[in-house]
Amino acid sequence: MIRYLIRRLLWAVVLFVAITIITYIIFFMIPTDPARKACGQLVTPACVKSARHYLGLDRPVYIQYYKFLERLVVHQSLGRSFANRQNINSIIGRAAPITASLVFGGAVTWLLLAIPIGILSALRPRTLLDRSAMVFVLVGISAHPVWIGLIFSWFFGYKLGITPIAGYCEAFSPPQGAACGGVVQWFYHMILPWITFAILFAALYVRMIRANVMETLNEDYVRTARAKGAPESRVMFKHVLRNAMLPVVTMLGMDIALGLGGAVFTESVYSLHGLGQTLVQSLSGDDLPTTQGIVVFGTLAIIVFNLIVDLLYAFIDPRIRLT
Amino acid sequence: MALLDVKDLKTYFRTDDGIVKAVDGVSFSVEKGQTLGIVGESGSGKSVTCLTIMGLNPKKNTISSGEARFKDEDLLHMSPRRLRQIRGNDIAMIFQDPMTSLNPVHKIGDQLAEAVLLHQDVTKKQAKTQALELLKAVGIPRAERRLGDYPHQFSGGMRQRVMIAMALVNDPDVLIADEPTTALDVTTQAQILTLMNNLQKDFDSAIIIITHDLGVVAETADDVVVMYAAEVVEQGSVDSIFRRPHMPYTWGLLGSLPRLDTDLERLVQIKGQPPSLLNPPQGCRFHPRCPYVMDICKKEDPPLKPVTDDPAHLAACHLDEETKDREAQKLIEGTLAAAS
Amino acid sequence: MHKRLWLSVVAVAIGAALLVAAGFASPANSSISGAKSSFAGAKTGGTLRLNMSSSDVDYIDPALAYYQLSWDILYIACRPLLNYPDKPSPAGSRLFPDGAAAFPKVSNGGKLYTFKIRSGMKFSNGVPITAKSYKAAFDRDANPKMESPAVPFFSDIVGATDAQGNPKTPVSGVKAKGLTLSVRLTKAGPDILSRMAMLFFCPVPAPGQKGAPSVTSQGVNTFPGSGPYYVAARTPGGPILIKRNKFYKGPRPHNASAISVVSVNTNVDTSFTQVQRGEINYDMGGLPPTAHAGLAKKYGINKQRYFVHPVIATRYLGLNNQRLFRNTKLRKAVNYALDRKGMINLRGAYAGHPTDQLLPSNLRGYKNAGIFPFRPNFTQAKKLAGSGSRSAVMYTTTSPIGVNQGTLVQADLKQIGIDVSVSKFGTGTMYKKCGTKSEAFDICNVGWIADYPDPFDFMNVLLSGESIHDSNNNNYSYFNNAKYNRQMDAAARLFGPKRFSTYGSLDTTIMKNAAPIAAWDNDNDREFISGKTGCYTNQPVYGLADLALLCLK
Repeated sequence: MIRYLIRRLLWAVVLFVAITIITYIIFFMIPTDPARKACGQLVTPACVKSARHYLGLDRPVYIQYYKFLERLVVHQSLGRSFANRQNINSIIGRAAPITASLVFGGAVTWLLLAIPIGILSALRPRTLLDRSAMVFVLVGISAHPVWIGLIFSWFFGYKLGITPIAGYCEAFSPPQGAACGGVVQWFYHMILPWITFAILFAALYVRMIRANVMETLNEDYVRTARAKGAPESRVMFKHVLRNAMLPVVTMLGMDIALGLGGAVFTESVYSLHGLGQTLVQSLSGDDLPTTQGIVVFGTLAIIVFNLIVDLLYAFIDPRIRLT
Repeated sequence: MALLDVKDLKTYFRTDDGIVKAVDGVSFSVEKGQTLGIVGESGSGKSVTCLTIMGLNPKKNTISSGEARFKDEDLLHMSPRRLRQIRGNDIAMIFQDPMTSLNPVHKIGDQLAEAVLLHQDVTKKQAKTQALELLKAVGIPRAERRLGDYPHQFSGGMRQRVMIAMALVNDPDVLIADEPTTALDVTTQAQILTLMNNLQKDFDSAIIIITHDLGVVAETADDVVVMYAAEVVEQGSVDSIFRRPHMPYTWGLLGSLPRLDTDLERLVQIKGQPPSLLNPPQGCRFHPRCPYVMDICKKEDPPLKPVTDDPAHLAACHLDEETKDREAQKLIEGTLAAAS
Repeated sequence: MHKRLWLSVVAVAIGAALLVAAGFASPANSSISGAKSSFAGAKTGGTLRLNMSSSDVDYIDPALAYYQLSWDILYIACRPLLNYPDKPSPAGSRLFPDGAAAFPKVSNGGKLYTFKIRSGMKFSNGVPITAKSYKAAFDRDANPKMESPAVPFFSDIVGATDAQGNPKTPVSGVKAKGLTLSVRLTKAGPDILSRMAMLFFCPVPAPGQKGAPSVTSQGVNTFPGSGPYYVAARTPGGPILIKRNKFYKGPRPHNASAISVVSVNTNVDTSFTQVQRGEINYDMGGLPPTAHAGLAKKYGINKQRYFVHPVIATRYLGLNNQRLFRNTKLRKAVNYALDRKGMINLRGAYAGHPTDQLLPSNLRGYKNAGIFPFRPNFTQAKKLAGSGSRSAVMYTTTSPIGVNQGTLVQADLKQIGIDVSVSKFGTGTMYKKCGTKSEAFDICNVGWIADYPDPFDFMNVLLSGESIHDSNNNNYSYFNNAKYNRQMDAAARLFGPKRFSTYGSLDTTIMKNAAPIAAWDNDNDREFISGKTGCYTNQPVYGLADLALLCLK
């Protein structure tokens, strides 16, 4: 277990260095100039020069990278944004809870959708229900989340007015001037984003759970359970689901990491200022430190998250031992 | 009235290709304390027969008829609720593959206790105690410690012992063992069979043992049912069948019995493959593989009828007694010669 | 911001360095004072809720804020010495003394400006506004710890350079005594009054006074307001809360009692539906590109809820005078062949109006000379281009509009024997490349928005050959004509109406005789307010709705 953790940790360091170096390289391949951007429309060589110095761009790339690492390791600081000089730690501190709300709430939503539908389809294959589920899956996989989001926002928010059109509410301590705040408002504002975010994954999971359950239903130990005289409900929940969910947990770990990337679409439609949207803005603004900060944070989050999933998996599947 | 009385049991499966007649008119009965062996090749319908009795076939595409009376209640036509009360309590079953028949994610102790709790109104702790007793009874060393282990921490033989413990934990009247030793090595096979015999004595259960191995039958069973292509082709007491088998298929089974004292050349093989149950052969279903095939075999399905010298011994074959005598005798002599 | 103010590398900055604008602000021709609300029956009170789609303020700190959106907010929170009134064009772009009681006294050969500060003014926290409040702004902007972009705008004030070298040194040329502020310049600069109106010089409590903003390169998120409103709270990347300044007794309007920018960087489509539904009064960030035609049809233009106003901006093709287009006839040929209306149509309904001159038609001084057609005249173009086939490289942006414009230019110039190959870049990259002298391009698809409502910012900045460097150029056509350079320099030194008429003539002369560029569009600002919102006025200098006037119905 300890050896496993150490190995994972070393691997994480390698991954981290590789990813941050790649980000740096990509940024220096792109022929943009943040210093010129900082000077505005009417540029002068003098302004660009002083901006380059202030932003630290007048040094060689490897020095810039070294400075970045030094800041990160020694001061646990991701530096300041090129665009608005904000402390990137605090930018991420504001954005991460929003993305976490979306991704984890979305994961719960997609499981709540996919598990019952998947099970029912598995139990009643080729029925109307199964076939409707199939149509849902097809739509969910084919439709782009931005399109789904806009349609939902327009229909439920604008046309029916039963949900907010867009926007985010801080559950705790909303900033002054915010439109709303509180846990109830937070939940209310997250309903559509969750569903939008969840649909693609829900569709994939319906298919996966259906297949897993059908496969597990044919397992010998399920027959054993029935032979013991266990009622169907018990067979389903105690014997089939627990086993059918094992691959789902693995997938869930990977998909939540994947979802961090996919969250950007939902975030942009519903104006949620999470990591995804911040990343897109920083990319389009040539804001390397912010981009790098989110990449670093995202990498760490995914590494930690995968570790948790591995541990969880070992916990729910006794056959797995972490060595 | 026998403890379990099966009459004209038929199980058909609807498939995309048509109806598969997996069991086509099987009758037998088992008494308390007795052991019935059901033998036949894979796919002959012996497992399906038992699954039908237990009501474990997939409901959607299965058509069953006939009756299976347990203590005068028809298992085939009872409410699912009542059937669940009987399953695992009055009639228990052990499956062929102990590696896959235990749930990998639950502890052995919990799986055993579950069997208790489903049928007895006891606390979890009491159920665990019962489970422990049974584990000891089936000969699992350090049973206390192993209650908290998972199936993958057990060897195949130990798992089968756990399966047996699980089947016996509610002191069933009938124990159905579906190829209980097939997946195990020879030494373990012998241990498991001895264990079952001993337990039968202790619990006085009736046992139905399904196997393709007549050796197992010879060691454990009182009566034998030989199945071929969904039908019973011969049935009777072990003594009677081993002494005077009446059906070329049974001869084949007996001849293919491996013996420690004979060399490989002595093994008789039944040539060919079992027929498709979607479209079984006309007449006697064994005729395409039968070395004694006659014209009548291809046209008429021989009825299962008592043999001349033993009314309890039934067989389905068109062969004349003389040929049967001669061939059976050859087989017995060969066996005896080898044995001497 | 990016969506509209496109033009520049930082689409967003309107301010700029080395600005020498002046003229209309001279005491002689200005008597405009602040305006009371011009809307009869305007409802006052209530809270306006705004979004900023696809954009955010850069900073709310006046020493750092440099985006149009930021300035539109600071405009109502600040009382600079001189200011633009809350009125539509053209009155809205004429300076009036706001924090100053009158225009300053100019002495010492145009090098000493003495302002009399209005008495009795107070910040939103009750601290009196005096001359040292204005000086505090200069000192703070100059402090090297601020890293303020305002620095170039007052580097000709005595002591400014010294102050930039040491955080403890104030700007010695700015002196405050009670209600008198004197500003000493190193050389006469006719544009100083316009620069004083920039919101970089928004007064703040002096160090030691209550509410004095700290000196930090991150900028402060609130500061005591001197205008009709003040910024009460701001979360970077989040909401901005603006409240009525109860200590403001000046003439400017203040209809809503509070203005809340509830969300920034909102999705332009969902934000649009929020405005339609009335949840949001106004989206400062703009509208979905496809919405305009429908809105104009439904609400009319400048009638109820949909408004179209010209921005002081020009889009043009920079024709690289160092390469193929050193041939004047060929430049003129391009001007005849370009489908200006077609180019604008690619940008959507009411996006702008065609032009063939550099100066925007709404800028003072503009003279409509009708030099080139708005639809191609290939006959004339071919005559000028002569026979023979040529090839040219065009740089445009990767946006769908930029790409389509490249295709249109390609088709137009094919008619006159110029085979155009189009290269596409991200906006910032394209401007950087076109601003690099050695770059091998012939046509660059660029635009320019006024840093200032003054012709200097177009003519001298974009066409003067005197300031061509190896890189970071604004003269994207690399036009360098000694005669015109001299004429532009001379115009920059002029005051008053003469300045504008001289620039107007220069624009038409240069375009007619040299045609260094092919101008095609003056942009429009297109805005939409909710049904519950009224009192819309477009502030022409800041190019957005005047938030002090905007009201709830």
